[in-house]
Amino acid sequence: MNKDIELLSAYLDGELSPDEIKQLEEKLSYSPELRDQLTELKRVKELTKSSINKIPEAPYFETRLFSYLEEKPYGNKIRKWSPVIGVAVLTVALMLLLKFNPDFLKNLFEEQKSNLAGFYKENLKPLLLAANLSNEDIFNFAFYNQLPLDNTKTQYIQVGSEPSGDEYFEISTAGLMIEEGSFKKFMESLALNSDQEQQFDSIMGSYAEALQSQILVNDKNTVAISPNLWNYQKAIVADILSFAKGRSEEVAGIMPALFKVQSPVVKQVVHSVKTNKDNEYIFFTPDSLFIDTFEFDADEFKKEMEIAKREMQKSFQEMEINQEEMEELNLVRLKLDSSLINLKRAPRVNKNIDIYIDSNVCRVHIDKIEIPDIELPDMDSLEAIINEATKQFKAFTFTVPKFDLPDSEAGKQFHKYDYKIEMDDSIKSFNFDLHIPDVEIPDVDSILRNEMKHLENFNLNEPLMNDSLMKWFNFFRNDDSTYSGNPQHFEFRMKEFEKEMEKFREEMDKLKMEIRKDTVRVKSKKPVEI
Amino acid sequence: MDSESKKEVLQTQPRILEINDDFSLIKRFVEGDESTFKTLVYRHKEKVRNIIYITVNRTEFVDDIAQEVFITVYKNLRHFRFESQFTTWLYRITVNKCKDHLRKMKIRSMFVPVKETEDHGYNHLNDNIDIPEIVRKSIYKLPEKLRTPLLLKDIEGFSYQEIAEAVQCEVGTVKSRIFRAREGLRNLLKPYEEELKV
Repeated sequence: MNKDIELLSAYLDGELSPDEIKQLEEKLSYSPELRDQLTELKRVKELTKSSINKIPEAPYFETRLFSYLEEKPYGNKIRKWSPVIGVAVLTVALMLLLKFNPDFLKNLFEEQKSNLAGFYKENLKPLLLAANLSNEDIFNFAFYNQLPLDNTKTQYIQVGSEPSGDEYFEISTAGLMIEEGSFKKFMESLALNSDQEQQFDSIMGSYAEALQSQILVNDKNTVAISPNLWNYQKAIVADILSFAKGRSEEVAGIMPALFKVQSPVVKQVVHSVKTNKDNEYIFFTPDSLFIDTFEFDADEFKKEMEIAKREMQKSFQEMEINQEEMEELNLVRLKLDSSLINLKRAPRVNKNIDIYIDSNVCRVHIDKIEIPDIELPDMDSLEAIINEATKQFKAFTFTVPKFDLPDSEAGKQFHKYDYKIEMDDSIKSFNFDLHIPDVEIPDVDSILRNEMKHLENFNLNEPLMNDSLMKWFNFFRNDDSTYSGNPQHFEFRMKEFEKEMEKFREEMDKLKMEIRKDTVRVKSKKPVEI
Repeated sequence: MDSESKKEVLQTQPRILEINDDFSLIKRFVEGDESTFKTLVYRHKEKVRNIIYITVNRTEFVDDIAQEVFITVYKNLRHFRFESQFTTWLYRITVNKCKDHLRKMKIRSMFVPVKETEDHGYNHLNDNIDIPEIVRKSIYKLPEKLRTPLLLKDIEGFSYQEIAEAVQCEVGTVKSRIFRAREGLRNLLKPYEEELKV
């Protein structure tokens, strides 16, 4: 029978000889059982077929493979050396050429550079114009280094620096996970009155405008990013913090004593960042990366835009196009597409730029970026202070992990406290003794008895936690999932828990014995055969 | 001689084989025209990637293994002996690389604590049951030597002969392995009988 079913399987796959088919079909005609088997096999085959989809194509597979093969030449030794020979010949030729025409190379580079740069520098306009930056966007840029590139917030630019000091920016189709409501919380804690709110809006507004000229794009998919963007980020943080510190005692309270930036100093920094007229931009084009100067006249651009807008509005009124549609038309969008992949092989005008491209992110590393010098005060020391200050914004937990038994030595009664404050990545802890002079140490047993009463009425509403053991732990849990309460109770609970465990162990042993009795029955069950 | 005129010469010569079939491409590669390797990759990469995908069942490893396969092909193409189809050789390398990978993963998993599997056995209690998912999970519970022939047949549409060459065994063995795979799958799917009938 099994042999027949095996034949059925091959029959389904069309792998039988005509003779075998004839024999099998004859058997099938008089055996309903075999026909059932065939139906069953057919079903399994269909299920298999429909269960697995093809893997999506990998468009960059060849690019990666070929660049790998180029990096590591295989093949025979002559082939291995042939590029070296080529280079050697070229070097000699170049040496001769340069001997007689020393400026040749320099001129060549300069010429190429300006040709290329000129082409890509046409028509550059601010990208962020399309994004209509809100206060929250600017806040997020300051604290999370991330700016949206369009209204729909489908693309972001992320600036930052590696621990090694390399600066980088990244254009991606999805933003970092930003904790929602940070801005709201921040604003709430400031509790501004309407005058102050206006002031805050105007500060943020001025940055929104200033940031526009920091990132430029054009229809050739060129992006020009000013290195000053990195400074802006720091300046905005400093500005926001100094504003906040002056306005709210609460905020001043959570800032570390270290943060002693005086408003005039911050103003000076902000001023120097804003007035910095270094026109150097990092140009990022579909086939090259270079750093060059570019004069962007923000005022001129604004005027032009206003005129254009008015004209558009006029003509749109005639054509009855509403505001929303007009916004759509204003949209400038950077294309992140496969053409960018060429960049990887692009000639590097500046060798210290590195680029990583993925289907939804494009990251450019800039080794030793020349961030324009800003005179006084020292940006680095300010940065350290800001870092320290912003750390405090993140939530920290406050736990009382240890509570020593009262020490009634020489009539004095001390409660030892060991406080621990856990911040983002550093743990600071401090201990102190609390002296309680005229308080009797309560009887531990009576406390426990009282607590037990409390436990009996303990109601567990969460169905998922409805486990007899969870109860023991849950008692000590508060909402922040840190354990609170008197640690003595915890010790007591641990003993209870151990007892429970002991009981459990005994039950398990019993069960084991019972299973052993049942082994004869269990054995008779056949395991599934594959 | 540039490649354009070389092509012309090749085209004018009487040949039994098509100019761009795998054998001619390999011959040109051996003669020094390495660009033909690219054509071979373009032509076969998707098939290779799919074989890897069905064998290792993890998308994240597919491209790395596929790259290894083509690097091996590139290194050894000079020694190709034209005795069998290029694809026979290519698929054999692919299957072997997959086996190497699975072996490596198995060894690695011995040193890594067992992860909690998603399979908690409550699938059939769910209202919207994902039948292909159930079947897929069951398929990957089959031993590799049964699973690979089954999937090469049912997903990639290989013949028994092609499977035998790829996994290096007799045609008869392929036949019985596919049959055993189907029987095993049937047993594994028994608990889901009700859901599968819908």
